[in-house]
Amino acid sequence: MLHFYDGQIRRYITQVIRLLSNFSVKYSDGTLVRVPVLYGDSDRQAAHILQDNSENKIGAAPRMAVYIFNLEQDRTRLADSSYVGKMHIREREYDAETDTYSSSQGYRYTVERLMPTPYKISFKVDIWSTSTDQKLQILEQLLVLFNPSLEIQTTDNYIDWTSLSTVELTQLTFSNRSIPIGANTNIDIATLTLEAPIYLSPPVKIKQLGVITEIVASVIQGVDNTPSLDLQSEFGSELFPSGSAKSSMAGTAPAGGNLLNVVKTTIGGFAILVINGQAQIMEFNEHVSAPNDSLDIPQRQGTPINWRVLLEQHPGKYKAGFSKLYLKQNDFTEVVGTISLNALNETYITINYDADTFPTNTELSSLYRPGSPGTFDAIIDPTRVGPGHGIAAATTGTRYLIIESINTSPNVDGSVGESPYTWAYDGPDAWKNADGSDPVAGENDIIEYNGSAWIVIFDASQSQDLLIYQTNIYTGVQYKWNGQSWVKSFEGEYRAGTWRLEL
Amino acid sequence: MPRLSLYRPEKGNDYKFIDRQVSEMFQIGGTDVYVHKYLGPKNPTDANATADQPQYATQSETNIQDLLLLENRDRKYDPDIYRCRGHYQVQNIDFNLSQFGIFIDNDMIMMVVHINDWIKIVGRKPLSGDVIELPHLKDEFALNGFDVSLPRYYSIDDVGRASEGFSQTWYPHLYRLKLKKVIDSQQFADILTKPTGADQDKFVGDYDATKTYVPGQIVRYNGALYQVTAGTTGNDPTDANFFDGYGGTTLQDILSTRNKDLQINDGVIAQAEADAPKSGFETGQFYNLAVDEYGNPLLQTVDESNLDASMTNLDTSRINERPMRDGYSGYLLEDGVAPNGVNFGHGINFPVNPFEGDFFLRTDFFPNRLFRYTSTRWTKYEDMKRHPLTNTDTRSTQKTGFINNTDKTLLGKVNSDTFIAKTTNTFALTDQTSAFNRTTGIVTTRTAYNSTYGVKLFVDRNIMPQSKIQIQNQSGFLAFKVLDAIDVGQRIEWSIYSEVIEQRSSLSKALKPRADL
Repeated sequence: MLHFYDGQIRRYITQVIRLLSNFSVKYSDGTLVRVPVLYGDSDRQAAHILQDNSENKIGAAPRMAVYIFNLEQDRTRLADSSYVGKMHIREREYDAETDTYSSSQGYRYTVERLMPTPYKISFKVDIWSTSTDQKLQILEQLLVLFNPSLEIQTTDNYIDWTSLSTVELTQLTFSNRSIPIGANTNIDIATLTLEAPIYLSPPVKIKQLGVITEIVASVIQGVDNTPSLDLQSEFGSELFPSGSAKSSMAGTAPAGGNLLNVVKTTIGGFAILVINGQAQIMEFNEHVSAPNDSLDIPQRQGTPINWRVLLEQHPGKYKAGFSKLYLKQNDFTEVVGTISLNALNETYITINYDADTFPTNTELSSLYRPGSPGTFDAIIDPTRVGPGHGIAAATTGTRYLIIESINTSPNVDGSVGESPYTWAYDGPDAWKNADGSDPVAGENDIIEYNGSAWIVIFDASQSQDLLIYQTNIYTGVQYKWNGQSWVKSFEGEYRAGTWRLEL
Repeated sequence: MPRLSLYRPEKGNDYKFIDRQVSEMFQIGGTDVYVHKYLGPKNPTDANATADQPQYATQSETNIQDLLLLENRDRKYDPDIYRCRGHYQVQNIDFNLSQFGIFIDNDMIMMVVHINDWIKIVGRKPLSGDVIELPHLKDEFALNGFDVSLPRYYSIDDVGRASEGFSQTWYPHLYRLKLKKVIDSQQFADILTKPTGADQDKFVGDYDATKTYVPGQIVRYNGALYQVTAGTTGNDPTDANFFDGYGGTTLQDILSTRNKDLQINDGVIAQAEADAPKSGFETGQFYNLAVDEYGNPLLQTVDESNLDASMTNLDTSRINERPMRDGYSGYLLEDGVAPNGVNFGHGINFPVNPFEGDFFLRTDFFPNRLFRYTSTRWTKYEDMKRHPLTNTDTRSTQKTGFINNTDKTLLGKVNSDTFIAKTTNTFALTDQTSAFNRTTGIVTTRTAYNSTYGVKLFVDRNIMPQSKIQIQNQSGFLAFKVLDAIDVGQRIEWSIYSEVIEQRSSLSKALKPRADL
């Protein structure tokens, strides 16, 4: 068993001595003489040292001696010995170098305290006096204090739920002289018996603040012991084997019922908007201007909210560049990045993504864009803009994701009109190859300029079975082709419960 | 021829012969005994004397200090020391360490002294309470830092004729003294508060206003020692022109455990204060998070757009809103200190132009009250309820408010006046104030000086403690000095009262009849 000692009983002795200290007696010439209070059970060597190791040294009176008379368990105050009391503490920020606290929030803790054991401790207080008048002076000062009891504290620590106790005067023996007539000794001793209900406590546990930051509650229709076929097909039979033991993994349906709904929330119920490596907080009922499955860059509608609103109530302490943001994806993976408050505008945090946690861009090989084959330069509507018409003139390697088709007419490279009134097909001037021919591309395609002509580097119409990732250099947003459409890869709106902070 | 008998009705030559022989034996074989002769209890002053603790016309060994308890507690000893001879059987001393934490040894001596020699030298028979020093028992090797040896003192408990001191003439020649070790106590304070070493010869006893003192002499006054620095007669030892506090060691310093007892006691108190400096619990190191109705932290930053700076004063250096109340609940947490270590002012008036969320401690409230500025008003945040736990003069609980009370009650208004302080004020003859000097803080009134008068003073309607007011006689007029600084423009309101009563009074003495009814 590990050694543990906190000096708890020792502190009670200390406080009882303090309680009785600083009283005085008055001589007839007005001199006030303080009455020292000492522990009454010194060891022999200490006593000899006090005597200057000399038999000539003389003791002094008045004085008081305090010692423990009895210590016994108080069974009437016994309580549930397994009870653990928890308290949550936020400390002010402490600077160890200057040994000072600042006015900012520091670390946050949860303290667990096990039920202490109750005892009754009794003290004897011997009051030495050399005259009855002295004894009366001391007693009168002391006895008015017990009405009926006095409070003492062994510490002023807020955590210590055992530090407070009361001292009660249970007995007073006025004199140690059996026949108080014609005193035969110089010193007379009056004895007070004090009793205090105390607790002795085992050590506490200090942990990081244990408040709930995230709740994921699955609502299950719990009559069938087998997970739905849908769940099995969606998540795999390994995760949801038929007839398996119940599982309560967050975000999944536990075996034994159909998942009706999953309620997720985080502290404050806030959602966040993650765009271009920055994140903003949104109210729980707020939505952005464009949904996640849109190519449009979403904008916040509500009042800016300072990130400190959130950081201040999380356990742990925000540390720029070290605190992390976790963004949950539909495939149960998480995109992770360290965060830093934007010093100029604390309604934004800057995210430095861990590249290992989000999908890398899919290379679309070509000879003309060797530097970043997984990116394109912008998303454009080719019916509204074209090279040199609203966007920059085409240079070799330029890539665009187009949201409308170009030259999809079957007459391209042919003629239009009916004989004899026909003429050669002439596409829009904004989209011409160098030789004047018309490039052909469909919506959602990625086209690239090879120096003389626009070629389709990604043909959406032929890619229903592909999953590719590309980053729009213009906005910094990564997009995902899901076989049907382009959606933002992981940036966008995150509702409560789909993201979390780890400070 | 008379019958042969060694006994004679009178002490004849046989007795004298034997007595001289016995005396000689003591001279040859006895040891020196220094006698501190008890002179009688110290006389109380007129004011302190009571029927059962009377003031006697003369000091005498026959006086009893306390007629009720039959005690002589404050004993006066002759500053001169008498040297006699005595004899006792040396015995071993065993130390019994009692449960009370002190050695109680068996050091009791039965000493015999020659009756006539003692009477001749000391002037009277030995008396219980006389103190004897045995120089042959000095301890030069005590474990202390003093350069003087420790003398050995005994007090006489009982005196009787020694059985072995009766001669063939049936007359006694010896007293048997029962001696016990002296204790550093009230009874022997007169001896133990003397100087030691070379200075003990300079000690001339208690101060006497009728005596003339010369430089170097040491006197005792109200329990303390003073050394004369300039020849004087009739000047109080507290007068620094003639006396200086004695800085040497006293007999008590070297001989008594008292100083060490006090040091040990102080050490324990210091530890107790370190464990629990104040009542209740310390939460100053904890952070109080200001939250809104949803439990979200409240901020006060420029990034928050819902703050209207035109409506209130804002401190742009702040980020978090300051809490409306403490986030920690419990017994006696209120310490009158603003949460989260934010700076706050204190005083008896609120500051002008406060910022939203400012804190201010009003020290004119008891207990002191901490306010928080909210919107347009100062609201109570908490009272300073935590107080020191050590018994000191300044400890202020409800009970010690009655015991540690130095306030005065003023009755019977004699005069009063009000004025606004300037750097210096002079007033017309019709005014009750004649002058005020802000530099010296002295207000001179037109009321005739009377030493029994008291002054009640309000500065800007805040009462000034009596300890901050000193009454003076300015050319026959009553003046008073204000020990706190007074600012220009402050409103001074004084009243003079004829009766000044100490507010603290013993229950048995409060408002008793002043004269026979």
